[in-house]
Amino acid sequence: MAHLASDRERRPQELAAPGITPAPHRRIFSIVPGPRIWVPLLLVTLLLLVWEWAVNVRLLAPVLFSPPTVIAQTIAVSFADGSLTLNLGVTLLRVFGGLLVGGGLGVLIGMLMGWSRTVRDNTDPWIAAAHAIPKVAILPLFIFFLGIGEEPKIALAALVAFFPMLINTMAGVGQINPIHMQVAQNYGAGLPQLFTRVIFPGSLPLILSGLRIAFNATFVVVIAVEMVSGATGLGVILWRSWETLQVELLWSSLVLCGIIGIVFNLVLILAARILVPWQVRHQV
Amino acid sequence: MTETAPRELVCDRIGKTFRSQKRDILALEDVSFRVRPSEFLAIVGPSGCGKSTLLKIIAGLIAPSSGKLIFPEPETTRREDARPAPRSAMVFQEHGLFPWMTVLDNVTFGMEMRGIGKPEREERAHAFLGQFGIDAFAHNFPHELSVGMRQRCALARAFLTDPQILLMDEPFSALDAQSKLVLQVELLRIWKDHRKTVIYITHDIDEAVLLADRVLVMSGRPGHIRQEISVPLDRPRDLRDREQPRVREITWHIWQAIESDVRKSLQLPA
Ligand SMILES: Nc1ncnc2c1ncn2[C@@H]1O[C@H](COP(=O)(O)OP(=O)(O)OP(=O)(O)O)[C@@H](O)[C@H]1O
Ligand SMILES: [Mg+2]
Repeated sequence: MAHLASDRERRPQELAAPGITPAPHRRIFSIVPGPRIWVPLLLVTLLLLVWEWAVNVRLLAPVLFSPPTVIAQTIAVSFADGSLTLNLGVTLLRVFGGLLVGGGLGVLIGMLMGWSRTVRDNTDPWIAAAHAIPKVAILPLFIFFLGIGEEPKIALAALVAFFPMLINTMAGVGQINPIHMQVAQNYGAGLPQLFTRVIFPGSLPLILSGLRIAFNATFVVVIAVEMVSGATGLGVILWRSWETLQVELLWSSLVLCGIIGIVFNLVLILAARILVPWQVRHQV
Repeated sequence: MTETAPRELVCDRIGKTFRSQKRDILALEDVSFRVRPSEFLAIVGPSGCGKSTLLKIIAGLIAPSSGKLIFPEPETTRREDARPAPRSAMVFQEHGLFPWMTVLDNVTFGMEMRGIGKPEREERAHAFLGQFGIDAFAHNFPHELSVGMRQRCALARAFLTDPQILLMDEPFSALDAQSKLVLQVELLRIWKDHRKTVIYITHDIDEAVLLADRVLVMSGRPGHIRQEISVPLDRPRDLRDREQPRVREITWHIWQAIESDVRKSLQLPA
């Protein structure tokens, strides 16, 4: 039976299922184009046109609403003379300072809580209580202890960023398949390796979606703090334009906030593509 | 140590009780057996009889409630690796690979934990993956591979870790029948080159007989070893060996040892 090649002589290359290609080249920088963008773009244009028209025919009171063309103009001018750039920069610095400190701590403690039942049981009530306290309400306390500089603002931003990051990280650890912990342990991973090679990467998808929540919460709070106690920042501009009823400046700042939200979201989507390419759906 | 260092893995009257608020489950009672160096041992038994529990105890993932486990003295390390080889490396039924690591990072994970440098572990991995026909997929992620390829990666990781004992918990049971046959042949081929001590759990009696030197038949409630059957069949083996009358007979024998348990677990009369 010479025609029957022995099974053990055959090599398994042909086992690769059809349709599976070795394609390590991944597309990362391809956010913008695609036909899906046209429908939202059309809707936004339509909204802007209606808005412009409504202000022009005084359906919307011009004392309170600026038309989009004026808003766009104001933004361009304030960027050109630097007044908005500076204040925007200061606000973002506070937001990212808070995210870095509070979010970082949230990830660390969240990983510990997700990993250890004992840690979780003993800290969860405290977290629940602290989370419910309105953070802006304790701003005076922060000012009393930390002075009136940047510290109390960043500290408050950090406190706001802390909770969503912690909760999401903890959930992220919770959804790691226990088999992966067992594999790591069985293959000789110590605690530090368990955290860096399994727990952190395994919870990264949910950490990134926590970042989206944390960014928005922190941004809102920083603006609020600036409104009540700032000398600089987007919140100050918003507050002053309300006081003097400079509606075009008011609306420019609000639109800018929206743009920042969109940009940060795009950055996160890009970050997800780079950091969690193994997630089939890049949903932040 | 009082006795001379054993060369065998010894499971000595292992027992395991899972305690919970509602009730205690006696999963294993008085399980004793030995595994010789370079032996391929298969364990079969009805669902829920404690096979996975036993394997996890040997892997050090859960502690036995009673009895003890004696590992053979490690051979003097052949290479100047930073840390000695782990006692065991386990291959799980499914989902054993880390989804966030590429194939290459996955299969070198055991070596990484042993402190072997990146260039060396990748060199070893590429050689092994090449033999295994998955080298082209070294930079893919597990979700991009078929189940069969994933299980080959899991095997590669276990062999590359070079442990004292390989533990496999139904590694091919998620595969379709044909892929399973091919992977069994592949496993025989790799094993022939490395001659690792293997404990292999399966529900598939044909598979157990094809692969193993000896088959332990377990029985449930509480889990214990009911019978031990050796498979005196020459190596190397291949799929045609399954048609030998001797092999048919051994398979039938094992089935008879198991049938009543399976019927019991299905609530059928014996
Ligand atoms: N962590 C646990 N807590 C409580 N009971 C458990 C636990 N793990 C396993 N058991 C119980 O121990 C018994 C043996 O389980 P085990 O998973 O070892 O069986 P098995 O032989 O591997 O089954 P299968 O063939 O279905 O994989 C079962 O009754 C199971 O319910
Ligand atoms: Mg099992």
